[in-house]
Amino acid sequence: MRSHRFSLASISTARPVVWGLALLLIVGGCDFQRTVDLQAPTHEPKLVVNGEIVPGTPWRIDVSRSVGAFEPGTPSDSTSAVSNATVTVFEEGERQGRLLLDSLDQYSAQQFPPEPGRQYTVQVEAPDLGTVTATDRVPRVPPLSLTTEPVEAGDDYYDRALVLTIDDPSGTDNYYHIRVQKNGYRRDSTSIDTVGLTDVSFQTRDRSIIDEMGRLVEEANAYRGREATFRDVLFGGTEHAIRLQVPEGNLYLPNQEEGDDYPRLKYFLYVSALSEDAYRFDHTRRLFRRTEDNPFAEPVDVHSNVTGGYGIVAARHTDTLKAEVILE
Amino acid sequence: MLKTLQLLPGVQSGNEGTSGLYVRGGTPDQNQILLDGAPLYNVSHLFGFVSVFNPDIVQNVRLTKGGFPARYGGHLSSVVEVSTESGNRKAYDVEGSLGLVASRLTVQGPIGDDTSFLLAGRRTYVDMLMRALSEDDLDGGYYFYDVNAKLNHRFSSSDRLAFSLYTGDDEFYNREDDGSSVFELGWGNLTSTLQWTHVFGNQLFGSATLRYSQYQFGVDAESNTQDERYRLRYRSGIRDWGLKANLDYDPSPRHSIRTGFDLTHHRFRPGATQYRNDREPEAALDTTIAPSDPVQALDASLYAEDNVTWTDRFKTNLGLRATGFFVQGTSYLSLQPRVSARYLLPNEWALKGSYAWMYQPIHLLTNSSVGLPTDLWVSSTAEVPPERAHQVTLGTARSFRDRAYEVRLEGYGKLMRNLLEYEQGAAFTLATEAEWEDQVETGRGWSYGAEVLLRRTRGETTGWLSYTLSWTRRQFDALNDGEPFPFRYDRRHDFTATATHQLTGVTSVSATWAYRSGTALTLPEARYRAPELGPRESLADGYFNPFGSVKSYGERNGYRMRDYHRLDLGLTFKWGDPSGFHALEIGAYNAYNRKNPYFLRTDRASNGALQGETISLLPTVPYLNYRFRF
Repeated sequence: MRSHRFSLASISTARPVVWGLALLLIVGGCDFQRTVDLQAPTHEPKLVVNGEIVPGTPWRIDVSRSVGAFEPGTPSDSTSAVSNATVTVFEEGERQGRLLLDSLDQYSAQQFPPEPGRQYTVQVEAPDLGTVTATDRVPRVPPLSLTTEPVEAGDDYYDRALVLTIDDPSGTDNYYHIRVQKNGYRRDSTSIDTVGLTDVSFQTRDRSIIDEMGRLVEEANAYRGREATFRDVLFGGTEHAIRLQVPEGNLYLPNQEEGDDYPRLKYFLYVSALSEDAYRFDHTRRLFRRTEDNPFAEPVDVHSNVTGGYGIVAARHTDTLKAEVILE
Repeated sequence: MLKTLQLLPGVQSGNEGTSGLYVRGGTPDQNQILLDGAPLYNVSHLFGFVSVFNPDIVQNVRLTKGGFPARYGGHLSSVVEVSTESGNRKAYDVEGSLGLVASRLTVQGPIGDDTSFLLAGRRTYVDMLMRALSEDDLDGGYYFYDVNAKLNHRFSSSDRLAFSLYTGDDEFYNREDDGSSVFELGWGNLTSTLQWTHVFGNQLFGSATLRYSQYQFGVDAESNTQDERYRLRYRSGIRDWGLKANLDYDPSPRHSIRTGFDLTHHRFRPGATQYRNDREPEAALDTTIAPSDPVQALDASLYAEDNVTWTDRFKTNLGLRATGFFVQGTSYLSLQPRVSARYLLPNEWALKGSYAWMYQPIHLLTNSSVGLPTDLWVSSTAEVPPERAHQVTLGTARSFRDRAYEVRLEGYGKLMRNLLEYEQGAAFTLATEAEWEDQVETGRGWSYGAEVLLRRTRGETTGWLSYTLSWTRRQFDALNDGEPFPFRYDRRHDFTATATHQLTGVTSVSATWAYRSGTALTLPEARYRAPELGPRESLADGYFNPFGSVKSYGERNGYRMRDYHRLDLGLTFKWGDPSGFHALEIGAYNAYNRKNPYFLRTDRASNGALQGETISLLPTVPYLNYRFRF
């Protein structure tokens, strides 16, 4: 290879290049604004249909329109409501009737309440927004039982355990939701003093619930909350017992000294059998809420069973179990 | 070096400035990157802006992206072999450079007649400069360093032993003077190889390589204030021990057989957090969150290649690789056939074709495209099978004007199975409570396209034009409603023009222009009402549950960011000869100050609407560098 010595001539040969580079640096390097507005995607509003199919309760369907993600508007306020829709209910493909707009700006009907085991379709039609449908089948609550037992010695927070036993049906994927409330009262011969119905935070080590709801940071094998959703993946087709530890708490009754009995606590355990759509909505909704503000999280699409639109029309069948304890 | 590879057809870069290679629709973890035969699991410094390879000591880089011979395995998309210099056996050399943010120095030379050594290092010193210039008592900053060491010894004309070591770390730190708070974020590689080569005779020679490779990422945070005392430690990483042996047998000049084995013991540590909190008056919390215990796995492969030149025009390479991956009581066995052939057409055109079945039992979990050190290397397990790929290529090539010009055209198709993606809502957190296997989905992907390369290798002006037209899709049952969606780096067009012109014997100018179609990403398309279902108030009084608002994202990766293009200009004054020179390099990155999107940020305005903007990182960035060798 040739050997070369450095000389000023080398610089002069490259002078145009040097000046060019300097000019670029002056022009370009001074612009430190490094953001460019996004060309937001356009959005055509779609029908949003929300409601629950619950046996024994009247139909109630909310109809609204979607808002473009990059457009102004609040989906949950009244401006998004659609009040000129035609909402029709079908049971097993047979037309049941129309739901009418009520004072809550929702579509409802007292007639033809849903029944367990039946499939329902809600069809919604609105001018300029087209027609959408949502279909779901109402599950049946399996045989359930609830007992109470004392917690093991040494636990200074939880006083009692509620033991829920589910006789899970075989041959199907089953989904459940539980929620606990309590009411304290004292009875005498003429009246009842009550503290009213309040939510109860329970703790459980049930694996099905932990897998679905997550675990405590300080105790990896436990979940604590006021409600829980779970699947029967680990106990499908068998009898499964779930132990929920609950506190009794301080029970204040206005007339402590009166009455002819010890005060009592009544626990209400609401157990719902969920349809798959209801479960998937609950699961993704929870995930969405948990990750909405995390820029590193993968985006979550909340489950929808509305064909051609958004929203959820999902079925559940709820049974309420009660257990009463005497506070001696 | 990796930035140069990104300019070749079929190889794409991720975000601006990052070192990740996306080869023919693959992800960065599908590239096996070997430094002197040892795998490197993180090739980035400075969050991807600088590669771990010291350019002063890189002797050779070889990229294989299709038609894989049977000796390669373990990764689906490419093999990048980086060889460093062996050390000058005749004279001492000192080479280095001084830059605005980093400097490097290499020393090499003989030790006696049969031994040579090489020692190279580099370090950034922005943290030191900031500390010196700061008026406050700043004790924080960022730096990285690399050290390469090599020792070669020739026992005889037929026996050689080579030892190679690389270690490099990145460290981001911030410490309060009074010791009340410490935060340290660090990651780095340590690799080493010991290679023995032996010539058994004219027709038979072999080599054996013992190798070690480790990548570790860690976070240490500690706070000691009046109100609170806590300490957090997070560790994740991968560690390999490996033994590889090759035997090459050449029964005739037209026939060669190559065979060997490769054993690797992996130890994966997918992440463990230790957290201690002594906040009063609450009870102390001392916990270790290690949902995934370290996983050990054995990867064993046997291979054989038969390279035959049938006629002056036709030659083939047939091979078979047998792999067993043993982890947690589960065995994954695989036979991977490899075929490549070349036929010389009239007028010196060469027709080439290949088929390769590739297999990859290790995976990189990543939430981002940046190549963050938080990316997690994980093993195939009983629940997560190895990735597989079938790739076919067909192409033609020709040289012109006494090999001064070269043109290559190649088409490819690749089908990949058992690919991993994070599921909806998954995110890296230091205190993750879920096992990684519960946060991933497996699916398939495919990529096809055509690549063109026109290169001039001799003359006053050298450089190349490259163009890739490609399509890449992914399909996962649990993502995008099971429908196919574009891969994040599904870039329809990728064009590069690069040229260097020797103005005088001392002065040369260079320019590179790159254009790429915009990156695909997922944007919310709508907001709508979503109720709180369940027996809440509705049970008590029949009142309908309140509504919240959720977003619908539409098609996954259905939005395209702005196209990317950039011009780099450089001017080099170099005087001397290869054995001793001085060089002054000046230039500008992104010379016309294109605002190329790096990431997208959305905020919620007061009227409820999302507002989005793309953030670009690098404006026109000048550089000045002085290199020397004596």
